[in-house]
Amino acid sequence: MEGIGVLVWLAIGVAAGLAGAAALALARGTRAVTDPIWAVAAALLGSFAWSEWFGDYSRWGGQVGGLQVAPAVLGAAIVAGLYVAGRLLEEGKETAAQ
Amino acid sequence: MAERRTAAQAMVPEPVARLFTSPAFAWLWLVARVYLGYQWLEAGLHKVSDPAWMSGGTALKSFWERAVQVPAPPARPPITYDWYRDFLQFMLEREWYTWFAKLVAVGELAVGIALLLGAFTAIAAGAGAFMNLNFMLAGSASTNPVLFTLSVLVILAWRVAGYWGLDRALLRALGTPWEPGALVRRSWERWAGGIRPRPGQA
Repeated sequence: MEGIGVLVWLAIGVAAGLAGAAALALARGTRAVTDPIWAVAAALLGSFAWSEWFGDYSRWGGQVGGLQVAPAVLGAAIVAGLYVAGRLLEEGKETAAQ
Repeated sequence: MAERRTAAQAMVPEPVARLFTSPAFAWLWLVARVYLGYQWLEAGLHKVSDPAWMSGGTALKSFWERAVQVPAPPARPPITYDWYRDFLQFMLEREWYTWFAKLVAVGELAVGIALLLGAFTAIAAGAGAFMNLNFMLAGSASTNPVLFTLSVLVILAWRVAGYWGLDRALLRALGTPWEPGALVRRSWERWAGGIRPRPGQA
């Protein structure tokens, strides 16, 4: 991954992460998006992992600057989704414990 | 049990403890685990389909033979520790590579599958780390230092490393030796109930 590929990866990761943080806020019933850093980090890592490490087995959607675009989008969405699900499950457990 | 948890939590700062124990960070360990699993699976698949590993073990024999060589100074031998060189020499002389090569190939494959599925994640990561350690002791660096470090981190995150995998159910059912899960407790109670003397018996 190089040049434009890095920029596209950052754009995908930040967009998916912010969408995840917004979904988390929506699921909590609040409008405020708090602490989106981890959601963005999850999306960036998921995107990088699928495109860079496992991209050899999923060459769909073409590539931009060495970035496998479709796997990068899917990886970002899945891992950010898992972050949101994990947070909600954890908060559900804490509420149940109280 | 509550005291043990408190003591363990007090040893590390709260954010670090959360990183290794909270389901909110299970995604991080999923990525690490899948990366590790993928590496082991690829290495294992390559070996189990190679006759040099699966029949005769000549691949492992040549690896051990290279590792135990001691070149004339100032060149340095691949193995730093004499005890480890003696250990490999011992196995070479007894031709243990014939079965040990199969063990390595199947072991790598099993570790890869377990890590990818998230089943017995910490045990699989421990087995992987042990193999990495042995490859490094035998003088082969390659990807081993990175895989070893990742494995140690996955072991530390054992509570949640398999949360997005089979361990989510397995840990609940089987538990740990110090805190048995529901299935183990039920089986134990049934077994203990079966040998308990009935009322009126001596």
